[in-house]
Amino acid sequence: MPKNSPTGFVTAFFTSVTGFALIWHIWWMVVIGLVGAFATFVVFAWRDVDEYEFPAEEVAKIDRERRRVRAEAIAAMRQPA
Amino acid sequence: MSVGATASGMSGDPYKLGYSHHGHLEPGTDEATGHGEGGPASKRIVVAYGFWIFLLSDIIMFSAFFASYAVLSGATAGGPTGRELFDLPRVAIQTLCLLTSSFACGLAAIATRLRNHLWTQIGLLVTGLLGVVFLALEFQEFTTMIAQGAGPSRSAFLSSFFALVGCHGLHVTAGLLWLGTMMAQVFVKGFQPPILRRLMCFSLFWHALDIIWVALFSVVYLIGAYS
Amino acid sequence: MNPSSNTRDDQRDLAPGDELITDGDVASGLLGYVIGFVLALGLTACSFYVAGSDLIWKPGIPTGLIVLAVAQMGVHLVFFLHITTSPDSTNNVLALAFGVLIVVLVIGGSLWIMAHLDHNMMPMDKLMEIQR
Repeated sequence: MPKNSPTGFVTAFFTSVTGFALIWHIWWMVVIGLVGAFATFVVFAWRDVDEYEFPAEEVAKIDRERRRVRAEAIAAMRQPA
Repeated sequence: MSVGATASGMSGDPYKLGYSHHGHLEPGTDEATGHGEGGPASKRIVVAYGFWIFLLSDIIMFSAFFASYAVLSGATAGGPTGRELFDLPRVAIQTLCLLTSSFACGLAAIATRLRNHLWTQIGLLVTGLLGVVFLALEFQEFTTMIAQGAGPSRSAFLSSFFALVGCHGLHVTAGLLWLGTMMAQVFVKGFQPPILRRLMCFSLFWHALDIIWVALFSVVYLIGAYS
Repeated sequence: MNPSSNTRDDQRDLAPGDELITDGDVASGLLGYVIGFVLALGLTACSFYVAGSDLIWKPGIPTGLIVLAVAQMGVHLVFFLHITTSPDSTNNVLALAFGVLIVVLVIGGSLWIMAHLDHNMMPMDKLMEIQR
């Protein structure tokens, strides 16, 4: 599974800042936004571990537990209240 | 059932589905047959396909800019036309720069396959330098045109021209930033699988930019200068 | 959960157009790029020449240039991007065909519609006169 990362959100923030600054001709903010977006990209590109593995047994275990809880809930609903 | 890929249809694979070879793989092949057996395709294949789809979407965006330019190429509002503005020798040099940089990118790809650090970096550096020359020439052209009063606000033709050629220039700039990052990554991390996939994506991107430039110089500069 | 190791050099991991190159095989990989480069140079030279000379009937020059451009794009696709007719490339070719369809619709459709509008509508200066 891929590791979670806030990169998308952070990049979107910086590019929104850039867009706002471009509209209002605030040139120093444009530079900050672009540099920030690129820096986020480089930091994200440098991570060494981008995924993790977990075994199928763990998936099966989680699934069994979920089905058990669900079956119990349905059985409880079927009892006349 | 693990069946070798024999030619006869009677060997248990009548519909030629293909089956994974369960240990009889030659190097360079993949367990996934592409016909539904053997599990998902390898990461490199999936990444290449995904990036190819992105490139096609980028080309569709460029086609929208091309369509605007094609529709507005006659709307010069009494201002300068393409024939007066376009400097074809400069366009020829730009084209040569971009084409040679694509070639250098291909050489870098060969060096990467051979896992040769020195020649990969040299190939990528040449790619980047030629890209910088291309951008410098384009920047010079834009500033000359603006100084002559033929900026993007002069006429619809010029607006669409600056939008289209400028969009391509922005893509080249972003590509050069990416290239610099890739050169640093190869230098620091070596030829690990994620780095190799990124290099492959970069070369796809760079060749696609050259393809767009081919359409650009033919439609904008050559047709514009002589029609 | 454990971090998966990315340091394996996965020899079987190939994408369409990848060839496993051993040291002696550089020549064939190189040859592909050289042929593509030379063809693209030739087509570029043809484009520039055709545009500037009267080798082709003048009204036909734009069509000729577009044909040469499409040819050069094909050269790029085959020799640099390795989009071939092999079954490995099938997905890429299908995606490309769809992309080409959309591009043709967008550009051709825009030109067609705008030409009809141009023909059918009142010219801009007359329109503005009425509005005054």
